[in-house]
Amino acid sequence: MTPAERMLLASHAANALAITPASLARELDSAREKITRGLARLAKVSDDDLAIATVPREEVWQQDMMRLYRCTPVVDQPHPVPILITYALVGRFQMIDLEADRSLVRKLLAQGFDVYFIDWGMPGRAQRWLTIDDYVSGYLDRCVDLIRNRSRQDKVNLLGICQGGVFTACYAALFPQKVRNVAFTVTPIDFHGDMRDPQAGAGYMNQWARALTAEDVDDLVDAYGSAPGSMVGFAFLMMNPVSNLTKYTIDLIDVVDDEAKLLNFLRMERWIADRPDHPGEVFRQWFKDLYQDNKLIRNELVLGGRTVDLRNITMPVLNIYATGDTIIPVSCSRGVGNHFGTEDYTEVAVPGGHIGTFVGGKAQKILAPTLGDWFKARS
Amino acid sequence: MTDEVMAPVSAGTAGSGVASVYDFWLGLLPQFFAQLGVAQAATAPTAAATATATPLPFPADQIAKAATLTHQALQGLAQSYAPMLQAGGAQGLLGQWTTALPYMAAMQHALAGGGTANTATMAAWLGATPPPPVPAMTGADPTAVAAAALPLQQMQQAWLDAGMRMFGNQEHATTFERTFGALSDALGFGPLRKLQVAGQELMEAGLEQNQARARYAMLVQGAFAAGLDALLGRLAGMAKAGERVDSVLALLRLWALSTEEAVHGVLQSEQGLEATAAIARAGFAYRRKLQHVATIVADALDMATRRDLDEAFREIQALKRELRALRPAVAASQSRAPRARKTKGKSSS
Repeated sequence: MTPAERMLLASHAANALAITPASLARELDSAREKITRGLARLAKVSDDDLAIATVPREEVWQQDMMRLYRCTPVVDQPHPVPILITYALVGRFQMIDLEADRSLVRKLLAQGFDVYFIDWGMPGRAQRWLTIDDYVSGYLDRCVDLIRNRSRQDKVNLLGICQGGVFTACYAALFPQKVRNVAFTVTPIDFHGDMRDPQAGAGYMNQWARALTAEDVDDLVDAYGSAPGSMVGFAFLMMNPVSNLTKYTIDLIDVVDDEAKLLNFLRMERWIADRPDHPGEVFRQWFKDLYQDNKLIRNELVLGGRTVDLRNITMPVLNIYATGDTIIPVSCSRGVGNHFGTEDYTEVAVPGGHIGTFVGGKAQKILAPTLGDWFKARS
Repeated sequence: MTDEVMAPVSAGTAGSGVASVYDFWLGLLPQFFAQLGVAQAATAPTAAATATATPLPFPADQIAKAATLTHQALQGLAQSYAPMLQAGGAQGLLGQWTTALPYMAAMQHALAGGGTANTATMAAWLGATPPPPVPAMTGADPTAVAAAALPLQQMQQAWLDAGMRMFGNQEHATTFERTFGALSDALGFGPLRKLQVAGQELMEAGLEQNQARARYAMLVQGAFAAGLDALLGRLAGMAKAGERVDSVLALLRLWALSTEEAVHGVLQSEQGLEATAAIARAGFAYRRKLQHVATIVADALDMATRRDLDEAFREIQALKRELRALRPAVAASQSRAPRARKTKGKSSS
């Protein structure tokens, strides 16, 4: 565009603006008053107000940095087959119980389920050598065995979230004899799905990973050991750099002036900031074997000398994806049923984004009821 | 069996690295507002939170900072925009942004041209020096252009800082020279030679990192320019449809929307992905060179290195795997073993 063309365009654009000095003053005065009130409100916020993931629970098992919890059932006779929830490593499990009224866990408990979940903890330097196999055939398998023993069930229900969904898929393929039903939420199965159906602003991680060579990934892991949580957090911010700036400025104006919105916002921010380091060897496999080589859907992923063959997943599968997911593009999750060995495959779309699946108003009305009905019908 | 309630996540458990990302990101806010042509407010806001004696819990403390900055910026926005509206109406308001656009377009052109002009352009943008005159701006008042471009420069510098945060910081090199300059006498001739070579390689890696950052920053700058163009197009379309924007905050949101779309377009392009990979690659290489230097010193002084520690952890993990592999066999043998009977006063042997 030439400067002259731009000036002409600007003159047309100016016709859309009905902002006057007086309206400007009124609007900005009002906004500043809201912030002033919000600052007063912020000054009264206590640490208890910001507590997240407060569902009552007991620690069942602990090893290294990870812990297995059982949530306290809220009915006298819970469903006999327990559900084990496996979250990702890139964030913390608290997302499944962010607030009492935005809690997947509490909704499942209210439906009479016996719910366990894994907290992967904060891996340190000593955990840099952990592989996906250590997570799947080590920690996850041990958790499943413990739950089977406690509940006296041969098989348990698995619910995997995002990266935890991939771990769960690997587990179900390697240990199908221990899994009654498996549900995936916002889980990438086809890591190259975004190449078929590219979307602006979606699938950055897929694209960044493919823009690197295998040697680059090795260099990253060798240079850092583990991928620092701050680096992972920064990468997420850079996926939407402008809106992540307006979020803390002009979008904040209305949030701080509303008690409920402010507390929701702060609790979400607390969760976002809690980014664990990502064990280096898992990172290496995740980027090279999955993002770059798409080995999961090709049945070529090898864990601990065993090939993960999705056709071994013969138990019922529920696959839930979010229609507005930009972290895991829809094309990486949707339409993968024919790759599993099961004849009972269900796919459900929920509105909203990746995290909105668990905390968004509309998605909340769909997610837990769908999971509950599906598990009940098959347990 | 006791129920426990999860201790809330605090700033402490969030980790200093993550907290530093927060600090850094919120530190971008002044540049964000400068990008919008907002002058800094002369007076501080009335901020109850900032005056409070007890520290706020994380992240309320960070959000209070952001709100305070926004409060200040809105005051600055009123001071900056009101005279523009008075003098030139809506056209005057858009003038602040459009003045800078040709300059940014010229920067993009210079980048595409490569060669010495490209390097000079990048060098000027990387430093604190005013931007050089470019042919596309012939006829424009250089002072006005520089003034208009200043907020953009600040934003660009912030992006450079972002890259530095993400992939290593060259201040380490300076610190290193200060620290180990004093140690060089103790190392002996051989290690010192190695150290000199490693230092040279580190410097070269630093230069490559700067080049990668500059290319990335120029792309982002181009995206911001494209975003402004898109905003003008969007507004012109609204005007044609008889729609009006009567709120300055709504206008800023439209700007953000247009810019975000442009940023996605640029950063997800082949060129954008290459630039992102290059800045990452340069960061890894720089860090590894730095580690190499540290290893030479540690070896010379017979200190355990990162490599030694990693090897120990690798061995521990391998042993854990061996232990895990024994679990099924142990469980099987336990289930086969006959249970010992408890008998009173009688040995079972």
